[in-house]
Amino acid sequence: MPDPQDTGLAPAPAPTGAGAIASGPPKRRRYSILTRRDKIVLLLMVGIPVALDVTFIWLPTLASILLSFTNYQGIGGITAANIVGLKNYVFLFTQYTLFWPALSHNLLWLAFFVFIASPIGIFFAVLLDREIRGSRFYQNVFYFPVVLSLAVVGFIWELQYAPDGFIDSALGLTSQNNAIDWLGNPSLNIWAVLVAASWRHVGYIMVLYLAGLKSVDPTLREAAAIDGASEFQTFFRVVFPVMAPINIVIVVVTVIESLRAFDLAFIINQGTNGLELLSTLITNNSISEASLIGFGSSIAVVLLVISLVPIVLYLSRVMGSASE
Amino acid sequence: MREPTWFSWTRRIGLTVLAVFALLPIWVMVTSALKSLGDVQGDFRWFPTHLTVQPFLDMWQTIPLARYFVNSIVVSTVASLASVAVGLLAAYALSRYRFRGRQTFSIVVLSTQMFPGILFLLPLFVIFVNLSQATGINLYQSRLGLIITYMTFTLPFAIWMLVGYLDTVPRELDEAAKVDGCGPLGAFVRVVIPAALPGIVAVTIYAFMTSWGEVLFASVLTNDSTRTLAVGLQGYATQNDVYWNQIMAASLTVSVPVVIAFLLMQRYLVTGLTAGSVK
Repeated sequence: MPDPQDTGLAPAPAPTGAGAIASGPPKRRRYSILTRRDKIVLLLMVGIPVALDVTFIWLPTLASILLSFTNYQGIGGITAANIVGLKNYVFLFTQYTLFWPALSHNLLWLAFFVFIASPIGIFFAVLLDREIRGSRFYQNVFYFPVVLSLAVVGFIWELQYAPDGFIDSALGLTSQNNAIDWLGNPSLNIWAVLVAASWRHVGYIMVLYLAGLKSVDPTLREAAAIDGASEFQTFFRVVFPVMAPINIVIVVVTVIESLRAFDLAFIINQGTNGLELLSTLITNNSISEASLIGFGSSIAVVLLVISLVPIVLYLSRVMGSASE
Repeated sequence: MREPTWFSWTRRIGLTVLAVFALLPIWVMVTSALKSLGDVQGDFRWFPTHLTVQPFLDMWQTIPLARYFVNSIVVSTVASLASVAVGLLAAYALSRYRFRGRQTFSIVVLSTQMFPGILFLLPLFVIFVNLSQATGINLYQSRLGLIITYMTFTLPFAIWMLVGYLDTVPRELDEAAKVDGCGPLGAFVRVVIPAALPGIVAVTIYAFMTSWGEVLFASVLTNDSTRTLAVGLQGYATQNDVYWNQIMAASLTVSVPVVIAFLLMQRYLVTGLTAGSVK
């Protein structure tokens, strides 16, 4: 799913026990034997999404891997003459000067989300998970940036970061007096963009975590309180462990959102001058400035390898809950 | 349970700081949309001295905003409705029937929501371009191509959420409908769908919002006549000038539909986001 920007959410497996055939609960949940016609209907119901996903996501992803061994330029057929072996990768790792900065920006993005933005979101969810006045108001306020599209978020922050803009003026800097060009300074702009990205990400994580917290059985907390546990202990020893499933969702969402990074860098300067990301290198090399499809695919494969970590984590969870 | 003083103070301070952090950019957006271009470019002022609605009028002329608006509405509406229609059938099968291959289905379909779009962008681009050259089926630079793409990648998430909602509809309801003479599909259409309607609407809105704001595929697969808002808004940054006031006015305008939709459906959306994970 896109990012959704957004779109983007990552999730847990189908909630009902997927392995009900083998270890299934009581017999009343079994269904009567399906007729042939029912089976065909059923096959269509699940077959269409499978066909769409295989055609438009799985096969293209696998095609990326194959294309990365070619020098294909995007038009016409691919012949044996297009195959260049590992040349794209060798060039990427040894000569392409933008690759390592882009990779490090992607990893920085990931680290920033994992260690700063998401924990802040979780922290605020814990703060808001009380019967306090205005809780609903705060939730709406923090979630508001999530509703805005990333493009709009990009424009808002671009304006704020402009020299003479709101942020410089709030810091007392003017054009006569060392205004900081937040987005134009290549050693500074990635951090500025990370703050903008977090503006949205914090609210997203907070809402997800808050929904999880609401589902924690209140008697657990009462029991902890009766045993004399402090607020701190209650959270880390009781609530946090119970929230294990949602914690995994948070980790996965965070990793995926950061690997998806593209929109903000693209809106601000097409991902150049300090804002290089693997994704912007791909569009710049393969679509907008040149048509090096093969070379761009090798960059996509690098991103695929990184993405495999959360994907495998997710799949093992699907398997795990199925064999329970 | 009484909470310690440090906790309530941390909360007050923390929430205030974060609320300011969340709201200030919105304030900047709104006030900038009401300024003349000269005022936006000049030194920043907290409170604009001259308010004008001119940017909201000019923004339609500077770029073909109305056309982008129509494109976005068509693409997002069709993609989200199609995605929910297909997803609903699959979710019903998953929620009500046990069958071999359920787990394979989870792996093949549900895991794709974790694929960053950039992984399959290039092959899809190549396929669309070559397909339209070879057969004349126009998926490249057409709304149809974008619709199919968005539909496909909102689908896994839609299914995942819809299964969660359908699971909350008691099976006894379907059984009762079948006893009353409905076929399986009749029970689904007449009983289950109405009962899960808020959830279904919430998923539709989520899919709509996702398509509405998508930038990556929209920037690659569209041309000027099929461009959507998320990409089209960049047109306000011309070589000579950046029309900041109009960008902000347009950003506000294009956000209105999703903000309203969100506020209406918020309760269902938030529970739906986590429904599958915390059960």
